[in-house]
Amino acid sequence: MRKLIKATAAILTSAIIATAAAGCSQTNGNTGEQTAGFKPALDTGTACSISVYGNYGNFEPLESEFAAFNEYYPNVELSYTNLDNYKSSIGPALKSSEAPNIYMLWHWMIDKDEYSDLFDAAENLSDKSLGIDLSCIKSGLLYKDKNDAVPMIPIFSTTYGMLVNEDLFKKEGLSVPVTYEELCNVCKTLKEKGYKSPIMGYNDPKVGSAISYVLSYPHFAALLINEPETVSKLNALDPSVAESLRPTLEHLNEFMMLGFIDIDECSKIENNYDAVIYRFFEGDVPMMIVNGDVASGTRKREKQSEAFTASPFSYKFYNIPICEKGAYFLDLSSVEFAVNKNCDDLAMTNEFMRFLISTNELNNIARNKRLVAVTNDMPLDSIYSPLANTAQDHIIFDEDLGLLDDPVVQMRLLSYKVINGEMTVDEAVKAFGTVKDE
Amino acid sequence: MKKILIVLANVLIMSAILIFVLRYANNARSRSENEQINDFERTAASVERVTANYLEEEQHICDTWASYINSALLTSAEAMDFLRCSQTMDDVSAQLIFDNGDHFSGYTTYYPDDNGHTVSYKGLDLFSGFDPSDAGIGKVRITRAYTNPIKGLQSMAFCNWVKVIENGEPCDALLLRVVPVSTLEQKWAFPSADYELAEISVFASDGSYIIKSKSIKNSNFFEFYKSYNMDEYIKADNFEQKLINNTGSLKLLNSRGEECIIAYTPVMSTDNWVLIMYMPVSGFAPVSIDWILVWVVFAGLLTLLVLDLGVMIKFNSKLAAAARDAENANKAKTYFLSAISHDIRTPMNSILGMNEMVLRECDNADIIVYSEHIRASGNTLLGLINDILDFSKIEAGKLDLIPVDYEISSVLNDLVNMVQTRADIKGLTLELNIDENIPLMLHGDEIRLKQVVTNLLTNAVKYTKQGTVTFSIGYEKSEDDPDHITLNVSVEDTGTGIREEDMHRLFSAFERINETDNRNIEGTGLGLAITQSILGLMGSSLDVKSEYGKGSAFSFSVKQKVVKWEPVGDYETAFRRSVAERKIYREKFTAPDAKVLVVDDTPVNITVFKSLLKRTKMQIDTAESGDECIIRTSLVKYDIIFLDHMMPEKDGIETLRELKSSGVNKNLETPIICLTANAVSGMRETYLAAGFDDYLTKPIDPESLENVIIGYLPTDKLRSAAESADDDKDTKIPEYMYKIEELDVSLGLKHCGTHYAYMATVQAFYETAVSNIADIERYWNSGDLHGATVKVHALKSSARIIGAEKLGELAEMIEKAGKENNTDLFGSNIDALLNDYRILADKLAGPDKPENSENELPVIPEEKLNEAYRAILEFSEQLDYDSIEYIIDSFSAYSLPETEKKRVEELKKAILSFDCDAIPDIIAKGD
Repeated sequence: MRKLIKATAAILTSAIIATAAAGCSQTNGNTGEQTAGFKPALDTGTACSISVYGNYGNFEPLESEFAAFNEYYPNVELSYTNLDNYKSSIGPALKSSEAPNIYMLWHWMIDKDEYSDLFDAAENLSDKSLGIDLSCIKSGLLYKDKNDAVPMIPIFSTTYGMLVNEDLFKKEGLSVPVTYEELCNVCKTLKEKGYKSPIMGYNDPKVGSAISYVLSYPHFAALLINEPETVSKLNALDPSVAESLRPTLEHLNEFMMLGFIDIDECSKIENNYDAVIYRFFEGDVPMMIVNGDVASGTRKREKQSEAFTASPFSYKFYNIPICEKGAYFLDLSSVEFAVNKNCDDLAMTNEFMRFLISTNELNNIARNKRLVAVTNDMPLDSIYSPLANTAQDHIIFDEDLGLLDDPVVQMRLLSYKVINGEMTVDEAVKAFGTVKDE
Repeated sequence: MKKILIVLANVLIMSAILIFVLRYANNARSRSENEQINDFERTAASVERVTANYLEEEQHICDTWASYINSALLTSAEAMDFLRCSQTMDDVSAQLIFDNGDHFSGYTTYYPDDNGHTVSYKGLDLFSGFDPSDAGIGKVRITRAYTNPIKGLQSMAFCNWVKVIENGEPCDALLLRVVPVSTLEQKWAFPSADYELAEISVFASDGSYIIKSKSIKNSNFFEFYKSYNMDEYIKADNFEQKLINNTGSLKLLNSRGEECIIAYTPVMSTDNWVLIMYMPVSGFAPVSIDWILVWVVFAGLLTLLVLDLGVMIKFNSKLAAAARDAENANKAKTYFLSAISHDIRTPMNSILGMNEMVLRECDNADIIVYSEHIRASGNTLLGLINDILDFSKIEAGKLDLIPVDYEISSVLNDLVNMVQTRADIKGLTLELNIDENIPLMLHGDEIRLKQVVTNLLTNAVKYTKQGTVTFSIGYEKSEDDPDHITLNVSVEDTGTGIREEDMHRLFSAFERINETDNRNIEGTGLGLAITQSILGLMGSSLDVKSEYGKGSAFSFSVKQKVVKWEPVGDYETAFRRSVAERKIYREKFTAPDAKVLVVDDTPVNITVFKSLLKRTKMQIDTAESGDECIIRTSLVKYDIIFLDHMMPEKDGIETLRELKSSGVNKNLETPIICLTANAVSGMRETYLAAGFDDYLTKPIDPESLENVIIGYLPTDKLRSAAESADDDKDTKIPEYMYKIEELDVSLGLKHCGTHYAYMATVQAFYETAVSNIADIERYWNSGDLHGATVKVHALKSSARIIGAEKLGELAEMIEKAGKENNTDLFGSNIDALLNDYRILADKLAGPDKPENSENELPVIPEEKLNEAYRAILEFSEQLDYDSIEYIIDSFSAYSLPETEKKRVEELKKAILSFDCDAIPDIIAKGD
């Protein structure tokens, strides 16, 4: 009987404890994990505010980093603010009473007068005293000015390529093309199978993910990668090197002539982000031309696409084998962070940058944003897994190429005009240096 | 109810209460949460009022400016001058902008470099919703929050249309009062620190943000909601309209998957703007179940449960103790029955045995009548004892039926003999209705059948004062089984009858009906209960019909197997003739060549035994202990051994085992019959299992004794009984015995019945005195109180039988002290007892007491001497001093040669010094 009492008490106690535990348990928020190797250099009780200004409507991966940083510095309030018309508003913002501690910069801003203030306001992040470990970043992505200073650090890398509906390929018995010839054959086969536009993309001259730009830029870069003099002249918009555009434009024109891209159909896509993704999720597009930023938005929109929810399929991001030598992986810096050297709480701001610029955190933020990481070990999200097979000599970095924004813009605008029939290749080559964004 | 069920019931009740308490506490928590959410909603409403007031105030300023500009029709430069003068706050600027088709641009009162004072809203779609036709006052016109292109601050612009002269032409311009969002945010001072994590956003009716807090994502609130709460969005029909038009709150998951609360309310004075106050659930003061309450209740219930179980255990232990007590009481009752059986049957053995001798040997008719009365009373007493024993067997479930083949005529003889005598005494008429066609030989439990009918007949005689007792027995052939018949037995009387109200008590144990009237009728009240139980075992039951004052009829039917269908014939006539021709006792056989050994520690019992078999002329040897039995049997081959069960030191069963296991004993194959006064249930199995061939209960029934002997004696030793003269005539009691003051000869004669029996008993008393005294002293000196008490008990019985009443009384007192473990009392009187014993034994030897002088003793035969030495050698190897001592003592009955006297003396010394090793040398010496 005594055993019975003990057993009864034990059963009841266990049941109650279990119930209590269940009842008491609360949803623990993501407390984050402390970064291995990071050791706070400042007083962890420091209370201050750090603001980051950028042009992303949302920047949740960065907010995750804020939370991780708060594990060390719980009293530091970090916030991200999206500025309207960032290119023009970040300048005044830096001078305002609410100047940010950290702000976004882009590679294309380099050497442009209108953004010189932004670079002037930026702290040299290679300053040894800051203790920021820049070695974790792929050197080809790290910009150094003429004084060998590092005013900005890439946070993400991006590239140009295409989303491939792998289930569709399987269904049609096709393999994803890796050579230009295979690309043409696959497109031809798909065309024959009734796919009106085997390749689609957003058709707009103003954006970097436009079909004309994504098709032409890898080809153009592949031609220039070992031509620093030409690149230098191109950067100066020297008409003498206008002919360097011709091979790319002709190749693009020839490809378009094959009729694998229905430009009219592409023009129906309303924007270069949601609309591109949702169109791809319709399931009838074998290959959708995008850049890494667009690809990063796919996962979030899978559930929001009724078509995809109804008929999900597997897809991945591939470089386009548009060159005669196949595909090139353009590893380009996407977003870069600069520190406002005049901001309040500069020490803590640098401490945050020291925290963020590490293999672990940069990989985290890239994984969360679903972009290619800027770190040397470059872990790839599953969507980018085909890029892992890229041969080393087919990877081109920003800084290795050395091409600045002006010639790139020229190439972007001219290629658009060529594929939309607004210019012939000859006219386009002739117009190098003269076309402007509208 | 089983304990586990009680515990389960307790656990279930506890669980039910706990569930109730948990649900109650959970409801309380829900109420608290709802209250928190209600407070949150009220706070949101307050913030909305603050916001609306602020917007109205700011719009009012803008409207005031617009009114002035419109009323004066100023140029744009004049308007800007007015605005620069009117706005005095550093963080607020005024702008006058014009629609250039694809964007707005114009003038601003603030420019950081004080250069140009122009502003462009190129790329910002802020004013598309405003139309010049919408000009006027009293309505809040405000842009969404945007980054002020001049200041770089997150700002809002309150707007109104004005007409100004620009380039000489009047044109519509948008007057903006640009206010940093932080100014509004400063107004949103929450009333409570409870909302530290709260954020406020404002969105327009299409979901686009007017003011967006940091945790609210996407470019549109509805998109934000859908992004992370699609399932809820689909469930919430017309989600957008509900949010725009109502005040309330909802739960949603934010971009990190955290559960949040949003309180929403329309912003007054705006074009369907909605203010939402957002806060993660984790930001609310945690409202948990009142675990203290739950734990207290749980602990209370658990305590109650444990207490309940504890009480239950205590109660159960008491019940168990009571059950043990009851069991012990039952055992005590069984022991009591066993003891009383033994104690009553032992003297009954003497009474009935001696009485039997009187009946056999006395010629005096009066004495025979007296003796018959003794026999009748003795039998009645035995019947009572048997009833009690039977009842104990029934209670223990050990009353077994032992079916045997029997002659119905024999049963009838016994029954009618028994009841006829009693009926005659009471002057009742016994009528017999015996069906003469009843099959003669049947198979069933004859004894129990006889017992049942005997009970009914004796009852009928007992309770009938005058009239008739009718005993009827008939039969029917069994229809189901051709080998069986059903005996129908009935006993009717003209006795007192039984009242209707007493009928239900008829079969209750120890219940006696009409006790007052029947108080003089002896009985235990067990008879009918036993009868009913036995009939139940036989698959029958007793049927009773009675009319109070007129008589009763008891009847039953039992199924019996038929062995011989030969009819029993005219039984009644045969019976009457046999009665008329009845003779006095005749022994059934004689067996002068037969040797039997009777072993009993009580000499009187041995005397009775020998007396009962006196006429059979058998050679009867006796032994008074197990050890003596072993020695006797090792020396002599017997035809039957009668072995008493209850003996001190070595009881009958131990003796039997030793005898059988010795391997060299001469009586390994000799039938051994157990003598026992212990007749309680289960003993029969015990004796047979122990190795006895049969058993006889004391008092020994002479007929049973002779039957057993006939059964086990070799037939060649059995001879037909012959007429013999009465030996008692030759037996004289010496004169000196009448002069012994410690002895009442007449009382002894009364106890023993005949002169012969008395003298035989006295002789036995005298002969055993020395060894008994030695035994008692030995037991007492070795601290064996039990052994000493048993011997004193035997002395008590034997002393009383020969008429030594005082010695018997003293022995009884000492026996009682021994049984009560009263060592002091026992020790202080034992010497006196032994002294009296010795004196009496001496006096019994007579004036010319046989000294057993050497010269008078027979010379020991050489063969016997050698046999004795061999036995001594054997016992010396086993270190059995007692047996050696006994053999040496037995030499006193003989005259020994001088050489052997020395040897015997040396043997005695060796025994006294416990030197067994020396014995072989002593015996070998001189061979």
